Amino acid sequence: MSGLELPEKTKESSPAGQSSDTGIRPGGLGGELAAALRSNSGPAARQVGMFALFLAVGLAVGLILAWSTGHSPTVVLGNLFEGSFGNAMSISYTLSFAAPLLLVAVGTVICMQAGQFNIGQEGQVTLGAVGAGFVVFNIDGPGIVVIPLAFVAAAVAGGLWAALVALLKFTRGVNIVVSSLLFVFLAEQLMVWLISGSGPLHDDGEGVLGAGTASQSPTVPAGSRLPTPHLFGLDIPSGFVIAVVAAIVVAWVLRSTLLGYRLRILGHSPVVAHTIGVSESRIGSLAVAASGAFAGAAGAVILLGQSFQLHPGTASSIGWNGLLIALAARTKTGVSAVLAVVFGAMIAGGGLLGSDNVPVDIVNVMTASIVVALLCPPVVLVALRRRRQRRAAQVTA
Amino acid sequence: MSVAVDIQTVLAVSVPLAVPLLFAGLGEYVAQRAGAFNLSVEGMMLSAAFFGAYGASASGSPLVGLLFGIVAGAVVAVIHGNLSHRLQLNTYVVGLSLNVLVLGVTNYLLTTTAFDIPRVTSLGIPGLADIPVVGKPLFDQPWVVYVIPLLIIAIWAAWRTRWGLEIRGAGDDPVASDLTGIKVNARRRQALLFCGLCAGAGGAFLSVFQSSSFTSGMTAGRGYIVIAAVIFGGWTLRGVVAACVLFGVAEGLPLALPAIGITPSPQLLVAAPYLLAVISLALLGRRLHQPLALGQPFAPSR
Amino acid sequence: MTMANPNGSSMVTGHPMLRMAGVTKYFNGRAACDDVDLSVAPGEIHGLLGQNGAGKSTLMNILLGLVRPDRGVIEVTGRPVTVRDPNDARAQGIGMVHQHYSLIPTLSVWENIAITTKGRVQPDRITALVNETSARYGLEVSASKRVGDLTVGEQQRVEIVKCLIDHPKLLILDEPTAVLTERESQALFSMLAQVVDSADCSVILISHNLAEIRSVAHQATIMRNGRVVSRLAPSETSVAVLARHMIGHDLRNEPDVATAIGADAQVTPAPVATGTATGKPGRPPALEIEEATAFLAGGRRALDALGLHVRGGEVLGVAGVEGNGQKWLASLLSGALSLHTGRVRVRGTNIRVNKPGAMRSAGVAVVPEDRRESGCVLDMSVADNIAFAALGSLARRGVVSRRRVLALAERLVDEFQIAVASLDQPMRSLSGGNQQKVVLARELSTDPSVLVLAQPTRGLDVGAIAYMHERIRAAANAGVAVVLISTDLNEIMQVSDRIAVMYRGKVRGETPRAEADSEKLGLLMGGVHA
Repeated sequence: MSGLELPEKTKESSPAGQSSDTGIRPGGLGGELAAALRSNSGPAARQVGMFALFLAVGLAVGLILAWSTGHSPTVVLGNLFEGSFGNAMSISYTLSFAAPLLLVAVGTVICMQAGQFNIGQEGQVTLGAVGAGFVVFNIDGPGIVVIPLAFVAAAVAGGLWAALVALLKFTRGVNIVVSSLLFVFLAEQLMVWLISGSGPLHDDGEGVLGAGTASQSPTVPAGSRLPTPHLFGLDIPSGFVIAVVAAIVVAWVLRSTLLGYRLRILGHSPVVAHTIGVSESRIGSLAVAASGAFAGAAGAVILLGQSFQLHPGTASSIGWNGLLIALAARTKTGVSAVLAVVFGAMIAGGGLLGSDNVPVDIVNVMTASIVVALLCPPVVLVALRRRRQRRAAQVTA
Repeated sequence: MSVAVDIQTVLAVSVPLAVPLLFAGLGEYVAQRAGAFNLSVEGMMLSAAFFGAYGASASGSPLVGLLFGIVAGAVVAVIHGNLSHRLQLNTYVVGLSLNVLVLGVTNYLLTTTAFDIPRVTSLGIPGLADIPVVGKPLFDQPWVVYVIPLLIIAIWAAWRTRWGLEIRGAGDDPVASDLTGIKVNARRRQALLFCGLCAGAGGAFLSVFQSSSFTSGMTAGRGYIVIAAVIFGGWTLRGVVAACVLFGVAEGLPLALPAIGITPSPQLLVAAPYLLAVISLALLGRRLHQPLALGQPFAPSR
Repeated sequence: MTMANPNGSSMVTGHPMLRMAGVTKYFNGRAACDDVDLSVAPGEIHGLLGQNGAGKSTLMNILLGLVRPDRGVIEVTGRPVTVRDPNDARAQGIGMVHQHYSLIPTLSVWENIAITTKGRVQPDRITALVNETSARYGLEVSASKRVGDLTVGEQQRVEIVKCLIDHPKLLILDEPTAVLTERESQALFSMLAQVVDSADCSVILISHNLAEIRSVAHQATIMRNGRVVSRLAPSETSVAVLARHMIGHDLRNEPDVATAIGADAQVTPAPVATGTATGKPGRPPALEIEEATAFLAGGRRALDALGLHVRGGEVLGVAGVEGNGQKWLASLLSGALSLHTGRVRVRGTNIRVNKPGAMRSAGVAVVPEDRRESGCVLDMSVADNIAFAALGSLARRGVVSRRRVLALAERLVDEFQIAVASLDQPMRSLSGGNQQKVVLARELSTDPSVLVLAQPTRGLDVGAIAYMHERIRAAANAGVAVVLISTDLNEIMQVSDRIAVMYRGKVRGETPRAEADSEKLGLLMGGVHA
């Protein structure tokens, strides 16, 4: 507009002939940061280096905590490694813990790439487990039939639950962060209601938590549990295979299909998306529902592969951690897979810590620190670039 | 008579449950009015519960415990504020990560810490405590409880200062606020710090004053109930106080009602805060005083 | 900049209220303000006139402490001052009514004012202060109302009261009448006359409404290209003279693009338009807009019964001072604005304006003003950005063929001479000129019947500008109806067949290029019927 504007706008156009990447962007630190956060540019080696460095920083926070309370960091690290990658068995554990995390993260990538900030994965995982439960507890049949059915039910349950949030956003204008958060706790109570007292999924039998527990479902019959095929000298949890396949498919869909293009364009620029005929309410809702479906599938993996029973807290923070993985990976499928395995390794390795009386909770400290640390590289890069520029300015001045 | 007894039973159970919600809810309310959608309130409460218990048991004084708790809540707030409203890291990721982090740290430290928290005696207010039915549950409580009315008045008064106006400006229109000369991110950090102090008091109340112990993850999602309370309260002071009290009662009912002879659906009562918050968002939507820039980061142009 | 004050007293007779001397500010090596002197006498309404990019914004931002000058002195009542930020400016007695108000919509009027006043925050005291100030200047303001519930005119009054309460020495108003009705404008000016009456306050009035400046301002400073080009008493001159000063005499009326720019562009000059493109009767216009009225959130009028039409093969230049609705015209044509009333027809067919993709499928291609935000996706590759418009045809059974995307990208990169290291490099890493070429190539690749370009050469270097102009003419010669929206009159003059001038959301007047001169355009841009 005419007349006075903020300085930001007066400097809007970057000087021609010069790469905008090397100039200070007008939006101040924040604008630059936003750009850096979205940017995929930069040499791959530097990016990998940064990733490894900040991963190590996150780990170090946990090790410092261990050290300050009188535990040897080397012992902690050794145990973590031994328990996660030390032998075929522990690798199998690692992969089975990584599987649901990866599924949740893959779904999260979809909605985040479409610019829909759904943070209700924990609830969608819960509902997915319930959906799978309805199938495996009610249908007798060979696993080859029941397991796929259970996955479909889980995906539908998680997807519909997430779609409610999208519906609230696009019909009532409800902030999706707020509603998806609230829906997590509704999902938990919905599940508890279903498995307790007179609920349709309640069971009085001998469960994981012992006979007569107020809120528990029956256990998953042996035939309906996820198999663990023995390949390359390893017991590969089939949940992990499913998750990896899902990650590859999603990465391909996002990269190469018309739908994927539309979704990404919507996430990057709703304005551009509008001009090429992408309807935010349609594609956005689809993305949110898809993310819920993948979280739901993660619920099925948990029920059929790990917990074998619904009980309060079935989702066990898999949803939260999967969400954080995807965000720390800056919504990249490949990085999410790496992080999911790292997180899985931490959980698996944490099991061995008890032998040296190191509390297993140090794993939570490490994962949370890793997430925060991995958010930092863009900040650091921007700060470094600014310093370089200040130096350069001083030299020329 | 029997109705009066029932009310007294419900109140006796609910009031102590509402107190931590009120402390944290008032803090979260201020933070959200400044535009900071603070998810780390759960972590603030939990760290305060732990370090409050630690302080009380190390010193033998509940007051020291309370102060430890308040500081612990503030530390989480300062970390969150600087990461999100200085370095501009995504506030939701930081908030959720801090919750995981605090859960991990407190559980970790819990294994090597034993608590011996002095019992806190209640302080009856002469006269008021003798009022039938409501007197005992409301006016015969540990002294911290009586801080809440003061806190409400303080916030009410603060809204009428320039600082309060600036906080609301930062939450509603950061761009115009910036033009007016308000330091938006500084105000948000301050509001977050206030939230940390309040949530700290709430967390310390849980461990030191209410249960005289600390158990793993003892806040049990109260931080999220508090967020629901701020929403259901329509982002007004009156509404938030009412919502916190209501949710405290909802939490107390499963404990109180069987004594009276009614068995409610416990899941429905637990879900009530979130359900009410979702319904009010969906139905009232724009009529709520939701801060217009809630949860949106602000990067000043200079 | 700050020096010991030899005079001591703040109000020494003979000193101007404000003196800015030698103020210079470079952005990226380009002078936004070049050795600018500005002097405002006590009790004076001082008009500040200039086109976009003339440097008025930068000058005022410096005065408010939003921008640090590279050189120069600011004196208020003879005393050198350093202004660090808007608070500081306020403390020095400088108040500004922004075009985008700095009011917080959810707070009441008195609360908004309380934030910036000194002393304790007491509703009664501040309400009294508001009432007193508003009564003194005849500004109707209700202190207890929520700002968000006020009309734009009322909000402006609040903003003015907010400034006046501090008893400023200098009150700056930025295009204050742009949002006002005729009556409101009159009220504003009589209020301003009252403000400067006692000579302890001066006003800087930034406006491009020439008649307004002439009737209200005692003195005027006219800026062009970062420099002051003249200082005069507007009442002693005509609007025509003001218009000429503002636009400058160097307005080129030569259609030959490359030579006019003097660029050594690597393109063969396209055949020059014959200027008769307007006269192709029989065919319906490719684009017709009738009575288009649109409102923005908050009730501001974006477009006001705007009407224009363009035929195939014709370039319509849309000129005007920025902020007169050009942005919304471009928005409308890219489908991002919904109309309150009115129609848009493309080749005779009515278009459902705000439906996603409707404009594009009707054959309207847009090169938007903010290419970084709405023209392209900076974090996707060059090839992808080129492919956006034709995604559907590049896909088979829902899968986008990478081979065909690359083939298209390669062809267009070649055809449009886009300098890229790789088709996979992110859009962000391209220079502005090459980004713009990508957008243009993409838009032209869909064989549009209407091509809309909004400020297409802003921020580009000379070579890139010449290239863009070539392409625009070539498109028109190929039969495309072109709408060129630009605040750069030279560009409009060089490329257009016909020129429409926008003023406050409507087309103020139209003229064939051959009959346009700086005076005529300046008058239209200034809201005066030529």
